[in-house]
Amino acid sequence: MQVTRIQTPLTLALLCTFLVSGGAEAQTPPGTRAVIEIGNPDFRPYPIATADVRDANSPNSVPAQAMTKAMRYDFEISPVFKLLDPKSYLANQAKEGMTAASIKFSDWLSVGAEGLVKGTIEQSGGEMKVDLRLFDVASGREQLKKSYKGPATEDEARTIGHRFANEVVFFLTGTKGVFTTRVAAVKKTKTGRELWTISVDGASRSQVTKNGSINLLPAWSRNGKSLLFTSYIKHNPNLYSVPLGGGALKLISGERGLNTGGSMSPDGRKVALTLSRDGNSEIYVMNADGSGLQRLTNEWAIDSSPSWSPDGKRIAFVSARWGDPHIFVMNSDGSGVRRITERGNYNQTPDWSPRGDLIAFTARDERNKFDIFTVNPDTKEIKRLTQDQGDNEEPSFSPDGNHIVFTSKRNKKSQVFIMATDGTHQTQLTADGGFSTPAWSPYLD
Amino acid sequence: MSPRVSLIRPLLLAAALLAACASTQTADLELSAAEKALADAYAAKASDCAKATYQAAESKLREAKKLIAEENVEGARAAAQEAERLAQQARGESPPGCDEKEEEDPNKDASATDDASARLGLEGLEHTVYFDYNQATIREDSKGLLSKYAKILKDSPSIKLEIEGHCDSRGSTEYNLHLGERRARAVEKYLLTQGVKPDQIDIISYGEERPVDFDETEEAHQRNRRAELKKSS
Repeated sequence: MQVTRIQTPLTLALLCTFLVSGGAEAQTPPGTRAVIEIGNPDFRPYPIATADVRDANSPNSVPAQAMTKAMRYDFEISPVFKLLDPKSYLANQAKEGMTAASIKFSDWLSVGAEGLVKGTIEQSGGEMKVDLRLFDVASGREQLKKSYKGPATEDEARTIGHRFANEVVFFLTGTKGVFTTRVAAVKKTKTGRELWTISVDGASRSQVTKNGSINLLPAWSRNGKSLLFTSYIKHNPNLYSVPLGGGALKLISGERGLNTGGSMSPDGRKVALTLSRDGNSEIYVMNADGSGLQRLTNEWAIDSSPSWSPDGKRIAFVSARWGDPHIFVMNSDGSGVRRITERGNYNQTPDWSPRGDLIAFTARDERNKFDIFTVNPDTKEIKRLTQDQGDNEEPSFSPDGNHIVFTSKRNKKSQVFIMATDGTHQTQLTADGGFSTPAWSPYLD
Repeated sequence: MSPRVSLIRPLLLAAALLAACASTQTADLELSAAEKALADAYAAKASDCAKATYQAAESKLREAKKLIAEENVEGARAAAQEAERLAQQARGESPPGCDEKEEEDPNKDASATDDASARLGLEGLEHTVYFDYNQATIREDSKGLLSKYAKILKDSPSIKLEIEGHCDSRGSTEYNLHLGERRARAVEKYLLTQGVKPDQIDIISYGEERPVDFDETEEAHQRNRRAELKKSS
């Protein structure tokens, strides 16, 4: 087999930063430096190789394969990384150990790696001990080392892989990875609509409601332990909260008419929502327990879909007050209303990035196609993230602001997709279709 | 291209449509008069006490509706007029004993009247009105039907309607819920301006969640952009 060896010396911003800062310690405590910053003009994805996780008992055991696959998936979907194709790896992985001294770094440098992830599993009595490490290839130094214990199952192996990938992102960027978070979404059934949560790798799913009614518009509580949603279970579309660990629904708002778009404030103390109780769809704010209702908008047209800014001081929403639906922003007391989208004539579903600098939304373009865009709420600069791939709708940011979940009809049925905030790394999470209004969870661990 | 050329055709079309609407509406009026007469006859227990004539009236009314469907406007008008005449005759044939029975339970009477109207009026009527894209304005072509509903509701104050608002599959889930409600509310407002009492009408929106047509064609979208008028129990 012919393999092209890459001989270019790799002098990289990342490496330089380490050298300049005099990284003498073999194991840098995680998260002490933010090295990579997405959006920085100098940003370049970090080329990372992920060796096959070795199981001491049987090298390619089910947990070992699941763990390797989980980490590779994470590095693949993340805009922080460029995952190097495992087929290109030159190193003799069976001979290499877990210590820097036992690794032939020149083999990893040759395939273009700046970072190398290695891992081992030791199984005994149904349990496993896991050792995962990140090496800086150019300097040949170990940078991150984590140990995990758990049942020797495929699920647990996957979770451990994702947890370590979270740590790697934290180490490199100063912000924890989102690979153990989940997405809540609505799935069509024969009789109605039910809520589900789905892991970011699509591998695990959990049904949240099973009442046969129409359950819509899930939104996460700030602690990630419950969902706010609208349900027709008592005929009138009321706003409820459902605990994810199981338990009874709690009525949050049962005003006559629509109670939709419940969205919890960043401090978890307030809920913004849309009510039609006064004869028209308006945005209100109330305390998280449903008390202290206060009306924020007063317009003849539809006002709906509130989304809080991360500092809780502003609320983005949809208003048709100028004829067509557009994205507006107001202060969280209802003052200072400002239109943000000045292009298009059908802009909906705003979701404010946890970083604060972008609002993602759905727009219908001149060809009547729906696509995902972002707008900067201060400069009003608009960027298009999806195009020519069916209808793409209902964006929701990951808790680190680096990813967006959305639905796409590019393969006919409406599926859940994720992508990086610049529109790259588009990845399909579901295959069975019928999904709508996905909402990305906060950090769950 | 001269703008005059492009204007003439639509104008001619509109004129033709108006003419067609006018004649249909005339038959509609006769139909509802017949329905009313039949409902009155039913209320007077003519369906029991003057069974043969009552059934003849019912049969004529069905014939009139069939002719309407076949676009035989003149035939429908004649049949409807005959149905009305037969219904009035049936009512006249009902012996006084039937009337006395009624007065024993006035509440039961009221609901019998309403049931009859509902059965003969509401069930015979189309129960859907349609809307334009992203609009919640009552279209001209819906007003005739809604006026009939208004008349039945005013005649039978114990009948209650739930108006469901619906949208096509395009646009967001939440916005469509609110748009659907505006559609239901527009129908409600129209009925209220015709004199229907507010407590006879409830509204609910299902947004895009309950389509009648699952295709993604323009025709399917139009069928889904609707308000449905349903008798509530």
